[in-house]
Order: sequence, then C-alpha cells, then structure tokens
Amino acid sequence: MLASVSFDWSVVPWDSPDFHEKYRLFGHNAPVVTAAFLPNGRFLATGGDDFLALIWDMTAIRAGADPASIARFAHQRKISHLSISADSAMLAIASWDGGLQIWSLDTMTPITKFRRHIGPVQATQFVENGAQIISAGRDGHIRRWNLKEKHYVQSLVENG
Amino acid sequence: MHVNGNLSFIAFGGAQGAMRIISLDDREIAVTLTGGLDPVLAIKYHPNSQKLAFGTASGRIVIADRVHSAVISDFKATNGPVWGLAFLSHTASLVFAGLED
Repeated sequence: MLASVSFDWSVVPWDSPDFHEKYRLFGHNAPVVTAAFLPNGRFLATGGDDFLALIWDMTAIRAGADPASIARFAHQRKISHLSISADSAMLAIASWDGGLQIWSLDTMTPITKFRRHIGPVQATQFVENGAQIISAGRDGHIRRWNLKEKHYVQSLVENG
Repeated sequence: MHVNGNLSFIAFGGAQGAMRIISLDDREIAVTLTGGLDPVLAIKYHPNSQKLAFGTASGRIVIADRVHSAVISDFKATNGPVWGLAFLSHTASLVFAGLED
C-alpha cells in the first residue's frame, strides 16, 4: 500500500499491485507534504502546510464510508514530517515551529513536546522500539530524545 | 533522514549534496557519498536489505549499498526535484514522487 500527497491539497492511497486511483482524500486546506500508514494498515496519517495532521480510516473508506478524516491534530506552524511508532501507539510530528510533538493515538492527546532545534524540524523517526526518537532540523542537528523519561539525550550530528 | 530497518544506521543528506550514514550506537560515520552540490530531498532504506536510495533536487536518484559503501546506481529520474521515495517490499521496485513541469 502506498499513499501520495500533493500540492493540490489531496491525498491518494494506491492499492498494489495495480496502483489505480480509487479514492482521493480531501481534508487539508493547503499542500499536503507528508504521510505515513500505521503498521496495522488501517489508518493513514497525513500532514500539511495548513498546520494540521489528519488521521484517515482506510478500512472504512474502502468499505464505502465518507472519505473524511476521523481525527485532527493542530499545530502552530507547517508540518514537515510525521512518524508512527511500531506499536501504533504514538504519532510524532515535526514542525516548522521548532518542536517535535508526540501524540497518543490511543487517547488522541499530547504526550510531550521536545524543543531544542533552532528553526524548523524537518524529519523524525522512532528508534529503540519506541523508547527513543530522533529528529533532524534545519539547524544541521540530528537529535536523540528519550521518550520514556521525556528528555533530550544528545546530538548525533552537528553539521548535517 | 531515514533509519534502516534494524534501527542502527541513520542516513541523511545535506543541502550541499553530501549523503552520509552514521551508526546510531557510536555516532561514527559509516559511509560518505559525494554526489556534487545537489541538495538531497528524500532518503529511503529498502525494508529488507542494506540498500538505500537518495533523491535530489535536480531529479537524480542514487542507490547505494551501506555495507560495501558503494553506489549501485546513479541516474536521472526526472527533470524536477525528487520529493519522495518508497521501496515496494513485495517487488524489486522503487517508486519516486517528483515535480516535473
């Protein structure tokens, strides 16, 4: 399964192996720049220049339900990247507001927000089985964070 | 930036075209590939191997082997920037998303 996001504000999930467009999802009010499927394949998370991350229930959409998002996470600036933990419990959002926001996908509430980058955070990924997370910023740093204790660990790269 | 499947190596690219891989454990640089001054916009590891792909602002895709520190393939994929990359695990295919006028 594959999803593409576009400057035309749309999201298109592509079912393999034929990759025909069966659905076009609208919900963002600006270019959509990032997407990630949850490991269970049921949900798709997307983020965009409208400062929003949206969650889509692909199972319901495939069954003919209204192709609308089922949850939304609002941020202060553009969302540049998002990542899902391997157990599908957490959503990490990298934003131009300089923060790395962690959300619970079980309760749809914020868990913590990490701030250390100067300027936009460009990418993020869970590591160490979800115990840690790393983030890359426009400041040239790749930083590592401890999710369990919610603190900064170190800069892995300082001049990236 | 992308971390490989066993979560031990981080690949990242720079605005000046450098493509690097470092160990998450000791922060040592494992691989440095120099491909010119072309900003790297997308990186993706193959889910079942040590291969990875870099996509650049000028439309190049560089496929590299981390273990052998070697470039496997370097080709012009499109005339615009490569924004996204995805390996299809059930095939030997690489999908890219770009902007081409």
